[in-house]
Amino acid sequence: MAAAAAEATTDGGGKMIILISADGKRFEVTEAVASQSQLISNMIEDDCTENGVRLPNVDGDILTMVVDYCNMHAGDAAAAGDTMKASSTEEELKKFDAELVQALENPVLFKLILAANFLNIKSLLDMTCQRVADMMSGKTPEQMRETFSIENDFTPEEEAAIRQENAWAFDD
Amino acid sequence: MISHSTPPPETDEMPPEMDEMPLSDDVLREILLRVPPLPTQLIRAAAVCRRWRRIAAEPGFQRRYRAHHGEPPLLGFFVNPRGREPLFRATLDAPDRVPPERFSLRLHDDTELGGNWYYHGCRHGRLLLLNWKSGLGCRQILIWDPVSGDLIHLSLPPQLDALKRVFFQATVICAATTAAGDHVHGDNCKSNPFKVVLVGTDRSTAFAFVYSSETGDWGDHAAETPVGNCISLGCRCIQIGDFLYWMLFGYDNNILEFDLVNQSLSVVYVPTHIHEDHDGLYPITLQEGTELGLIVMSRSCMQIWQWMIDFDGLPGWLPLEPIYLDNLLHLSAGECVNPTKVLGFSQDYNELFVASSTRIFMVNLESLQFKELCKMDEFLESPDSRPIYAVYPFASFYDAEWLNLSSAGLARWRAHPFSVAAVDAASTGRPPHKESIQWAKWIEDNISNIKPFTEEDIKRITSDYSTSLGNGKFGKVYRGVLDGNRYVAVKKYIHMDSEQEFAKEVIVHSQINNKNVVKLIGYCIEKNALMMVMDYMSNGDLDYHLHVENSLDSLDARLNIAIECADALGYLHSMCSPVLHGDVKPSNIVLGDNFNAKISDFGISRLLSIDKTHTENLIGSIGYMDPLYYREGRLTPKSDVYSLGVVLLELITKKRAVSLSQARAEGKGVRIA
Repeated sequence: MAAAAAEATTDGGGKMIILISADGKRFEVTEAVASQSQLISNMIEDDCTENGVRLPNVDGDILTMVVDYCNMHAGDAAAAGDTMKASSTEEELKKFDAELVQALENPVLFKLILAANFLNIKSLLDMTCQRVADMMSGKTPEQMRETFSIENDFTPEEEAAIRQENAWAFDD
Repeated sequence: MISHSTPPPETDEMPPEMDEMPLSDDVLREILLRVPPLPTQLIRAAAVCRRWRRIAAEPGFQRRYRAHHGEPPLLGFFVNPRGREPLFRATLDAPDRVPPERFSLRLHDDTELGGNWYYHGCRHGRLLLLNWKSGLGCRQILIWDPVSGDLIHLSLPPQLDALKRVFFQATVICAATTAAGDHVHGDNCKSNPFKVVLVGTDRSTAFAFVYSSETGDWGDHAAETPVGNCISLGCRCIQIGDFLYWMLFGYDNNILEFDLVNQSLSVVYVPTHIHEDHDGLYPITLQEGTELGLIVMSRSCMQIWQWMIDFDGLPGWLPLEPIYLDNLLHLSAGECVNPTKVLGFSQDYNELFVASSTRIFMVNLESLQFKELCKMDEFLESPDSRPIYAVYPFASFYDAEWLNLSSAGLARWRAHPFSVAAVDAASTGRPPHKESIQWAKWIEDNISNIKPFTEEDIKRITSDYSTSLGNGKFGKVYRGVLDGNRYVAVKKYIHMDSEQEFAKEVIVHSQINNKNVVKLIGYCIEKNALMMVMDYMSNGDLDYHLHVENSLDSLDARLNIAIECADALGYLHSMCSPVLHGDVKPSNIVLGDNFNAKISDFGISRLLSIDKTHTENLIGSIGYMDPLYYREGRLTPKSDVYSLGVVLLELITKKRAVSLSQARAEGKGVRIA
């Protein structure tokens, strides 16, 4: 077996994995951190991570966020494993998560959702999708279109029919 | 699980400058799934653009949506102040206040049934109404889903004939459970099987009857237990796991317990000292729905008792901290808590509905936070009428129907008081769709308890149509095996005039729920394959036994068949929107294992409605057809009774009332003196 740099071990004994973003940025993370992504976890199982994992769908700045998120959440995922890093308390995690998504502009939030979906990180996908769903809460269809810059592609007749079906639901 | 073969952000679904939400359908689904389960949320999201609407309308998405949110939201409550139509009031804040007219059920005044409709509460998205008339007792049960408008009529167990003076309480529960026995809300309660439990007391004994939508029948077994000197049952029912509870009022006040698993009744005793000088007793659930509790009101003090087993293994009642409602609700001087006015309890939300002399409040029993809902006099017809004494909280997902029906179909649907009648309106008006695929959807939209099959499914079930059971003017009947253990009859149409007629027959048949009517299990509607899957009746049809085999020697057996057929017609005609069979004859009466009779073939059933007493095409069977119908094309309930008369004649004489050639020669049917 080739002993590549990517197989260097940390003090805690966990293997390190290199993630490479679309624009060529490299991130070195422990296996425990990386395997929160089901996609990478499968790759680790298949033993095909030694030359680094290329993620052509994920930009460097998005991957930074993803890696931050995974580092924060490595504690609960690794469970009994790596205790080198003091695992964050639940409260800290909640605060971190809220701050992570709260500040994001829509285009960045959507990119983060796509990355979470592509990497298959369930908890991150759940959190980011919930954020978008919460943004819809209490809005009229017009406000939702405006918030997310979506084109209204219904014909006027269709729209009238849709509104007529449940007219009460469109009143404020 | 989300697919990972989704295209990268740059999809061509939207022009680049609109590329602010560059999400694949899979991801969009994940987002819409998390939209809060309040009534307007999905409706509004589905009005944003075509793609959102398409996703929100997917049946798979809706299933996931319900599963994701689990508990349906508490939309409001129903009251029925006059023993007539239930009225709805929302408890949510705007914009999620579903207007009363959206959940309105208009009960025909012109049905011969008469009597009053009593409301018996809602559970798991369904409501139960019971028709009761002085002197005649309980006569019919309606199960209503206010969101979809689906209405199911149930006839009552035959044992009730002897219990005409007894007023029954009833409840409907979802019969879907997990392996652990817990109720699962998530996967659409409404399409799941349900049970109805009917309990009543004749002062010394309590009875319970259970209907299961899976068997379509009231079980033979009626549970009974002595209850001492008990005069009446409370209208509020609570459910804890597999047990249901009602108050028993009389010289002693106790609680009646029904065990759904063993189908047995028992009494939970309440010692006298607990309820001395009470002003109202109400069963509730405690500890997140796991324990039985009892509210004892005395003036505005609400004392809750918890039923529990003590250290010695003996059952007993433990008092909790009393709640003073006048203080809690900040009632003004002169506005008292009318002591008898605990109006209802939503056990899933732990919300108690209480009334002061002028207002209705909702109080959360855990947080003790409360909300004023409405004024009491909203429900008074006149200043002298009796104030309401009960409200029935209603929790349900507000989904599905509003997306699936075309807007024209929906308007027609809503315009009609009953779903059965709406079917008729839709089929006599402009057809909503043309292609068979859309007829299939029409059926799916209108019925939830019937299973759609593909042609491949049917081929497999019938082992490629290997066992033929007989021929009819419509086509052929084959025997099949469903789920490896159940015989079914598959009726394959070859001469069906149109898919519309077929769809209509399926919908009419699906509304009927009676032990003497053949049960419809499913259907297949594909190009050149119109089929119905029904209960298999092992002894074939009556015509064969009377006129071919010449069996059925026992007069008792024949008399029994006559009674069962009359029962079935009685049921069909007394449904709120009566169904006329229109083709009652021995070949449409099929016989089961013990020669129990069931009516089949609703191919030419016409629904009786005010504007439709004439049929354009005369279809029926010569010899069994009512002369009036024959001459004028006017089908009435009496036409079926005439046909039944001919069947009775044949049952008694075992001879054909008329032979086809004779009828043709004379150009008319048989005359019965």
